[in-house]
Amino acid sequence: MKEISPSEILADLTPRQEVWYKLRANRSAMTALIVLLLLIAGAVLAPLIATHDPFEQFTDTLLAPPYPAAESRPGFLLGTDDLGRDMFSRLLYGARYSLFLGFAIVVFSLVSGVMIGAVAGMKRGLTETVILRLMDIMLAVPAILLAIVIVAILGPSLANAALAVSIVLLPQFVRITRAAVISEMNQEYVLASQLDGSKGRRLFFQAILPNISAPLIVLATLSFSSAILDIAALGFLGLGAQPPTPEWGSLLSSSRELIEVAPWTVTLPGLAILITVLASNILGDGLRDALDPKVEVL
Amino acid sequence: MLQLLLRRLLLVVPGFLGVTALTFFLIRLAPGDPILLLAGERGVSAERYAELQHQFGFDQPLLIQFTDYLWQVLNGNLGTSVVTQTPVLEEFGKLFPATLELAVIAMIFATIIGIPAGVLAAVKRNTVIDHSITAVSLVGYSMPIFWWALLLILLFSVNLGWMPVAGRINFIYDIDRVTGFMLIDTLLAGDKDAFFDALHHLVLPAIVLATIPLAVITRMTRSSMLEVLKQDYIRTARAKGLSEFSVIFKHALRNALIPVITVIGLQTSILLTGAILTEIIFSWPGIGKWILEAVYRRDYPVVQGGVLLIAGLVILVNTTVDLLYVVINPVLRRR
Amino acid sequence: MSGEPVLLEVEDLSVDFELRGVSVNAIQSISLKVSAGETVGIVGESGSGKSVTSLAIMGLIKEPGFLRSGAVRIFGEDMLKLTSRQRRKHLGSVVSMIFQEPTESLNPVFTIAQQIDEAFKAHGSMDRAQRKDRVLELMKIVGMPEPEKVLRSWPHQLSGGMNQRVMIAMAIACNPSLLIADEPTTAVDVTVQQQILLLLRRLQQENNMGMIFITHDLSVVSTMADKIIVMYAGQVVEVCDTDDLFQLALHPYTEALLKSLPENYSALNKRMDSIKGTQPAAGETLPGCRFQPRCNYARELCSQQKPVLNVIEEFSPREVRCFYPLVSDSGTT
Repeated sequence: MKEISPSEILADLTPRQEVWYKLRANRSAMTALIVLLLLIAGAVLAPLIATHDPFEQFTDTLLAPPYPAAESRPGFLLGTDDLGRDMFSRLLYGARYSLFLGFAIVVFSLVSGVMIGAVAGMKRGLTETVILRLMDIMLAVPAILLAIVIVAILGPSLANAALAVSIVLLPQFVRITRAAVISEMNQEYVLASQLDGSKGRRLFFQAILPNISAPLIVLATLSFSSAILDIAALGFLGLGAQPPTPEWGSLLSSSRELIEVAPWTVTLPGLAILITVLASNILGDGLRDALDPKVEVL
Repeated sequence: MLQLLLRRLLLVVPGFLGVTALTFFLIRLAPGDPILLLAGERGVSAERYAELQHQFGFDQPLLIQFTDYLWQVLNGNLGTSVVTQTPVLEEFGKLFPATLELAVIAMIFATIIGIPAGVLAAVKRNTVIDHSITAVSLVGYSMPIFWWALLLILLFSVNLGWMPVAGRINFIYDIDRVTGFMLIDTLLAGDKDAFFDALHHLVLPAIVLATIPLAVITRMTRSSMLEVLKQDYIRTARAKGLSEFSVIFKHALRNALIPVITVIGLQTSILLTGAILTEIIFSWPGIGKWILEAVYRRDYPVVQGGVLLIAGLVILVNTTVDLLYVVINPVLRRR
Repeated sequence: MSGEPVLLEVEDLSVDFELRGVSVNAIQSISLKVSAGETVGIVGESGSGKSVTSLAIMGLIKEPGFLRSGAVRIFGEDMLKLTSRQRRKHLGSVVSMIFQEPTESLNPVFTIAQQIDEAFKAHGSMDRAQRKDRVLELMKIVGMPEPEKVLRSWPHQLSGGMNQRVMIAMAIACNPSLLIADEPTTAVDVTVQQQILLLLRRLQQENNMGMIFITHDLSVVSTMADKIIVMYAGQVVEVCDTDDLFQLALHPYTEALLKSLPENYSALNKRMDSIKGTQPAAGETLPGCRFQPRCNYARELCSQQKPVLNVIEEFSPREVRCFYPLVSDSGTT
């Protein structure tokens, strides 16, 4: 006995509209999207919104707690750190690093991962095996460790950290693309397209890619979360952003010793990471549900 | 089935080879002269340099170097730490039990809480209970665990003074090392106070380390249960007049756990990642902290050997899980 | 079947489905009676509500389904008024059910022996050895080849036909008085279908069981049922003795169903009739008769008022839900 669903409501929508409709109905996903957009806006407009220069040290307001504490200082909304720098501004600028890097990493991993995965899925044979084995090896080393080692080799800097994380996130995209390509290659529309003269790159981009975009979108969103967490972890370990760069992870690293005297220097950056990653994950879940044709709408 | 098992075992070989190759090339990619890095010496004379070159085989063609390296690895020689001058394998052996103890406790914790939570969320779908459990697990794996560790320390060690901050056991206890597992060794020494102290030290790091696996297991169990509960055979079980308890815990859970068990196994990689961060914050003397400090100190033999060992471990566990999966799932057996 | 005790009496059963605030009617005012030794066939298209009815009788309707009204009396006791615990005592022992997809309906991680044994454990007090004997005996009763081997197997290793025999064995394990069979042969090979039907028939006769046989296939139900209930869009539209129904259908829908049987392929007209249109989508409420949009005989009244189930005395025992039931001579109401 199948469940009854008012299918006539959906019958008029195109697949794309259907996805959007389902997503809109998901309140938590929508909230997450709004939060992310706000964060992005904050990051982009940081120079305009920030109350102070994030690098400037105000030596007579060291370790000021945030509002509405008794010893808080006017103008320093979220307090200051041990060098008198404004937390709010540093956090805001930190958003720029995290968000921008997150996007960059995902784009890089996505694009290269899809390319490699497509080659593996379409060429099969030895190429496929070699690629798969390589990806397995990369996945055998725990993510952070691999990133740490890569950074150790290249030298600690934010750029190298970003590169390391991109490499770490690569295998997932390769695997998903390869699996999706393989299952699509047997479909009729591919055969039809091939008879039409399409092959290689054209076949992939025009015919196959649009049909495998759903799992890639979901993976991209979830990788965004991983990217942010990994960059922060590397920053925390001193292998990513270097002081005085106000990247959230490295903020946590430098304020670790202040944990007893100035807890807000520890709680706030971590909270920022949490909110961003949480929003990204909720959105990713929502997208997954919206893109899955089996999930009931109402 | 035997065929399937053998095939899966065979796949370990190229994986292992690959990892060895990876670590082999790592050292050659590092900035600076690899010979000097491996020897840990600086400012050597030309003579000494030639000696080292021969010692490390750098005067041979690359392929010979690799096979030599491989041979050495298989013989248990993974180099020597430039900092402590002890063999890498030996140091790993000394420090591994600490990480293992922490990981096992964390995993037990994550499973004991995660699976029932997932079942509860699935059975009480779309109620407040479900939403709360889902929300908590979502936060669980969205959190930077190094921050979570600091928060817990702030609350329980600094503010409340309930928990110790660092190490495995209070230094006043002098316990003989038998197995390397503090919980076992303290019991073997007959020191009850020491045992509880060791347990005390385990609490916070284990909670931190368990957080992500807990969240993942909860989610996985929930979604797996939901899928299973929709199946026809659940309807049959109810039609037979079985109690709801029997339907959920006997018929549904047995099926729902199958994918969850693989997830549990695959969490090893996550655990090792988490261990690195956890150990450094809690000064837990395990391999995570060891390898991280080696990176800071440019102790390349340790980095190289450590990565090889850890990756080898992950491959081992993943393979075991794969094999276990075939055994558990009757559908995959004889066809 | 006069003289035989009435096993099941369903009275005015209605079930709705609630999906995010929208209430959708699945079945409405279903009533039926089954006596010992009698087979009642329920016929209808997919979505007509036949399965929902059977699940409602068993008390197995779960969210988002809700029982709106009705009574289900087995030996006089209303099942729907019992607690789930009390009801569970009846399920599998007094009334049993077999389903359409036998392989899907068996738990893939337990052996056949374990699953049949469970039926005994749930309702009896036999010890292990006794159960083991009984299980083997059941395998033989349902005509399973190589019973010991089958008992050691898992469902995915057996064919659909064999799994259906297993389901039947589980269902009759505790000697139920009533068996509900929901499309038991639809998913099974044609060659095996006949065997399953014969098996069911034989078991019914041997145990004087009452049976409800649900199907969309009129030709199958004609061989199995004594009485036929035709359902459409969640309602009963015609109730009749089997032979009478095939002689003459009174409801336009039933007539259309009969006409669309392959054996009624009209050599003269060289076409197979099919019923134009489709059932109303769930949730779609019509002001008049639910079949009216597809009815060849519809008149003005049909789209304005809802017909009720009437007893037609001349063709007793017949019930029809129609303002203008078809009678053998032309058009008189």
